[in-house]
Amino acid sequence: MSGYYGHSNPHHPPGPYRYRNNATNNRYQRPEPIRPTPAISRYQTDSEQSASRYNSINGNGATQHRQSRYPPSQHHSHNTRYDQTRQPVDNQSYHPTNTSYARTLREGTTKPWVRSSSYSKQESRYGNEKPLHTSSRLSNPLPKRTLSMTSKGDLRPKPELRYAEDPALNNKYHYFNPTLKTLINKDEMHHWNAKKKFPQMGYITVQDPIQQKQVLVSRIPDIKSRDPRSTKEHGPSSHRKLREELTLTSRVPFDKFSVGPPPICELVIYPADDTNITTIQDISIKNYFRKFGTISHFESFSDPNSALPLHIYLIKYTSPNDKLNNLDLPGKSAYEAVKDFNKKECLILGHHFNVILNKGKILQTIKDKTIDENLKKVNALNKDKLPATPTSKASLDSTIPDKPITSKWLDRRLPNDLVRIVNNKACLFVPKTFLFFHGFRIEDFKYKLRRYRYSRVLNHATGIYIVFNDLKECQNCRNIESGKLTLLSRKLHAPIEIKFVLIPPVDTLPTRFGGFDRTSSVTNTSSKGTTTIVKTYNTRTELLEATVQYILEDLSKAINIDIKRRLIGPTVFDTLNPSNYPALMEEKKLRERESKKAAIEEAERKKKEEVKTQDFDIFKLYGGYSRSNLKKRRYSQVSSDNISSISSTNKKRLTKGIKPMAHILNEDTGSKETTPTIELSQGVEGYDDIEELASSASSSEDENELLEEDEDIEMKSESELTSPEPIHGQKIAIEAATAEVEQEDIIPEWYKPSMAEYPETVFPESPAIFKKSIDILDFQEVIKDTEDISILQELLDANETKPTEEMKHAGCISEYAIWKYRENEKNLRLTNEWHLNLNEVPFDVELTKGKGSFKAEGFRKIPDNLKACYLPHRRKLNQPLNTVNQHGSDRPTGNKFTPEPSARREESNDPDASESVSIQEISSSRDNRASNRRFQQNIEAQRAAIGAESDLLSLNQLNKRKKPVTFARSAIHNWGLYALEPIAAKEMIIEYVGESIRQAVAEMRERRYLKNGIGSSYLFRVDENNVIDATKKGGIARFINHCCDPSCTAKIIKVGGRRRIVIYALRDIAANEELTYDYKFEREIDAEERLPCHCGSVNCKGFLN
Amino acid sequence: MSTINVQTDPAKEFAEAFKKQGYFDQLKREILSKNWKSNNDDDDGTNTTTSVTVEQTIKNKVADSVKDMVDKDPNLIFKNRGTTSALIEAQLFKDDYKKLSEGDNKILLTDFIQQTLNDQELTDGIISKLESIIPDDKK
Repeated sequence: MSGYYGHSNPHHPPGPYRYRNNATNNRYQRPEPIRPTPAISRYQTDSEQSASRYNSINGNGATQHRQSRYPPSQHHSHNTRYDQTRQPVDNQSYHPTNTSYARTLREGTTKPWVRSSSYSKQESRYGNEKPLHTSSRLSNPLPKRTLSMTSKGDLRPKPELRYAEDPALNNKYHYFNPTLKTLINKDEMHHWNAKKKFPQMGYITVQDPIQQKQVLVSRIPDIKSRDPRSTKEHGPSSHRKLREELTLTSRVPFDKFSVGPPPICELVIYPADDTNITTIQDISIKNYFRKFGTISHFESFSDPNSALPLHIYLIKYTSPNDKLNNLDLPGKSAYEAVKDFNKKECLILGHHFNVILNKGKILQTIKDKTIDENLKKVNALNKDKLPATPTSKASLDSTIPDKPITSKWLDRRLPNDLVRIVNNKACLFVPKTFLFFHGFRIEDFKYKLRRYRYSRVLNHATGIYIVFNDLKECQNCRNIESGKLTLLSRKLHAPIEIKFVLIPPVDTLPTRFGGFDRTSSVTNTSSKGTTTIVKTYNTRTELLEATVQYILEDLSKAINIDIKRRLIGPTVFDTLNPSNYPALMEEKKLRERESKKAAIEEAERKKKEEVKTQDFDIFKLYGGYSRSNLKKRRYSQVSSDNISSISSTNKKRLTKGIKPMAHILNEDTGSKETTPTIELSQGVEGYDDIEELASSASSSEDENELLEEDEDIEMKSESELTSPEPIHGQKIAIEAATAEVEQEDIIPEWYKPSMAEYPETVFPESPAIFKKSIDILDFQEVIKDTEDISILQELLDANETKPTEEMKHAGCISEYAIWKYRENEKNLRLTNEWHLNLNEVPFDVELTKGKGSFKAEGFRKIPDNLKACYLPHRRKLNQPLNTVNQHGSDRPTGNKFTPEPSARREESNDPDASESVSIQEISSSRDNRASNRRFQQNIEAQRAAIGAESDLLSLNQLNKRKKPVTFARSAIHNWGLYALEPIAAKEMIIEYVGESIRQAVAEMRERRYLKNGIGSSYLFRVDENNVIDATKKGGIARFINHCCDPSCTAKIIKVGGRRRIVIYALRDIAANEELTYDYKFEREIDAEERLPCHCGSVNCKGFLN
Repeated sequence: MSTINVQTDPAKEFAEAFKKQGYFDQLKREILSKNWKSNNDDDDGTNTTTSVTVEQTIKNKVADSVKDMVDKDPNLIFKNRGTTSALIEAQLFKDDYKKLSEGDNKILLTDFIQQTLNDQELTDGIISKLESIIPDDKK
């Protein structure tokens, strides 16, 4: 049951008030329900009397009209429903007149409140329900809450009454003056039953059957009222006990909806007694009170006059973390602290403290009080002192020093044997008899006095001597402990106080005030000397001299320091400036230059040496002939270059006036002879020359050459031949050819002799001749000059036979055939090259099986391994990735036949952006880690600042360690993940992110995916019960493909208590390399379940599982 | 708690007062700005035409010493200037400015200092100033 009264439950009115007699209920008669104050705070001390509106402290009534959500009207309205007897009653007595309240007071009890007059006129069946409402709205400024009536009312602003100025209105609208806290029309009020007209305890009107009149019948409260309408004999009997006193409701905690000042959450701690506290540190106080709650503010105060700590502390509690939810906490903490103190004493480090709540200005008063006290003490001390000095001065005049020494101090002298040991130090003494009687030991004293800095404790026949190094300390100890220190007596079994006797050092005289002063060795007091000075000077001159001496000492020191710092130091520094020594600088520069030169020379030498090694090839070593010779003679490779070079040489021949056979054949059949002969002759000539020179040339070479030459010529001139198969040595062609040699005056360079260990051919040998099957093109290659042709002609007897028409015709065709063949070869080669360039894999002939047209073939499945040769993305792993579009990068893209989109060139027009991107990527990983950590800390701090767990600030730490990777088409399977920059081994690359699901869910999903046709599995096991599913939701780590020879591995790490899957690099990974790792699928027995692996690695198992 | 009245040596007090007046620093300055009686004087003790202050002589001597050092070891100038200068300073300072008393224009600094300090004139000056400070009632 909350503290709120009248809380709309009409059937259970709170409080001891019960509606006993509904029928006779009369608003004015029933006792005012004693509504418990909703805000009796437990934290109010008993001293405070919360004058709630329902206590009538003085019968005058602190009753107020409560303007709350639960207007009492409800209360009454309910009852009035049954109050049918009300109407006939003369209302006049209840409804006061216009001008005044007829507030009837019940004697000695709380009175019912009375509605304001004007509204009372509105009679309603239900009493004043309406007016209640309206008035509640209009009479606004009545104090809203009970609290204002309490002593806490100091804190609230004074209520303002509307219509307060106009008395007429004032009377009309108000009946209570909140400032004066009285009822306005109190004087006019009178007891309702002053004339004793009515029965004391209330009455009901009853229809008197006899007289046919309404009769007042006294109401007997003890009789339970019953509903007259009901037919039951006994009404519903309630078994609730009548409560005689208020039930303490729970304290309403202070929260954001509470109105009014928050409960006090500050404590003031001050010393309870007057003992001198020196050993208390602030921190110990703080720690003591920390157990009640979190301290937000701790302040200790010190005396402004002496700057000594007052040991008055102010502690403020606060609610930790989220202030919003726990506004009540600090008040509670403070209350607990005070309660604790009230229960038991507050003892901190042996000192008593008082703990109170900081109400109002109490802190200030305490502080002021303490400061005043301290001041008084100081003044007292000063006053005492002041008379001392004049007296001491007075004593100066007398030659006899004043020694007001109390005898007891000098009573004790050190025993002689101890004098040495004590060595003129102060000590405390405890007599032996005392010790012996009580059975005290040295250890007891040592323990008890452990806080003091004694040097030793001597056990002597006369007693215990506790020696102190410092006289002050000794005195201190004595003052504190003597008389207060208690040891448990063994004899009496009771604690006994111990008194120490101070034995001062020998050369100190006690002063009047309990101190000791060292006396100088000069005991005669001079005119100048006072008992209080250490050194005495006999004469002024002495003093002066001493002073001068001091001054001179200091002067010498100062001069030395000055010289050192001001003179020597800077001078040295300046002198060391290299510019002071131009000669030396020059030397140094020279040396530097020389060293530089030497270094450069070294480098050059090295370079030269390197260069030289390259040149150590045969031609340089052995060749003495001109390089130009070599260049001309060199035919590098059988390649397109060759073709071009051959064509160029062919051209050369053309330019020299030698026409190709075909042309000549076309022009003039008759003159066919000439051309071969020309060529032949030339060739022959060349050959003759060579023959002479290359004497040791291998015969096979010659033969071959001859053969080839022959065959070549045959091809050109033969008419019979239709197929490109050349090797049918026929000499017809040669016979046909008769050459008239055009003599050339100048021998071409390459025919010139050359110096070589072994004879060399004029033209480099073509490797084609060593092939097993030589085709026409190879053959044509071999024939290099006219000599060759002449030989060939000779071999084939071209000179002799006459070319017939058929032969000519055949010659044309064969020429065409050869050209076609050549073209085909060329095309094929080019195609292969481009294919290789594009796909890095040669075209597999398998693909061309069939009729030749893919379209004609119909639909057929091409196995994956073949796909690699025509699908650009299905390349091997090891090839660097080309399809990853790196914006703005100038990569050589393909060859001249792959269309280079202009778009790419446009992108590369923006180099700055790309550079910056690439530069970012190059930052060191250590810096990255540090900055990531800082970032993480930042986020944590922000989150702490916000206080609430916010989704926005949830940071996946692992994200920060992610390496730059991207997905692209893969050679292994569809898509794959590629590293954009080189990754070192054992570095974390990326986290496998996905939905975290349970084992059972995973199984279900796996089946479902298979059913739906998602053949790929993106389920990754974290542990026995958890699986990460990245099929539909996840990070790009899902793109990493399997490889039997992986570059990465997966590890499970714990971040923030949660398990995560992280991909680490097993080895160093190059840029643009595909990331792979071992899926570690379980081996399937069922052959159909096994998935083939396309990783292409050396040790590929062939299957994923 | 009682306290001991400990008074310092009055001589020291007056010395402090003396210093506070500024006389001390004045003295110091005077000494250092005195003219140096160089050893290259003629025996008759006449001053050379260029009267150099003590400070200047010290500086010159120091510079010479440093140059000598550098000549011996040219690498000095190329090293860290701060640390090298500190080291050289220390060397010069120790043993009563021993280093300065070697070489060509050796100056006997410590002797000079002692001389000046023991100078009666100086003492008299100090005393006279002290007289003004120390109250006469102490007589």
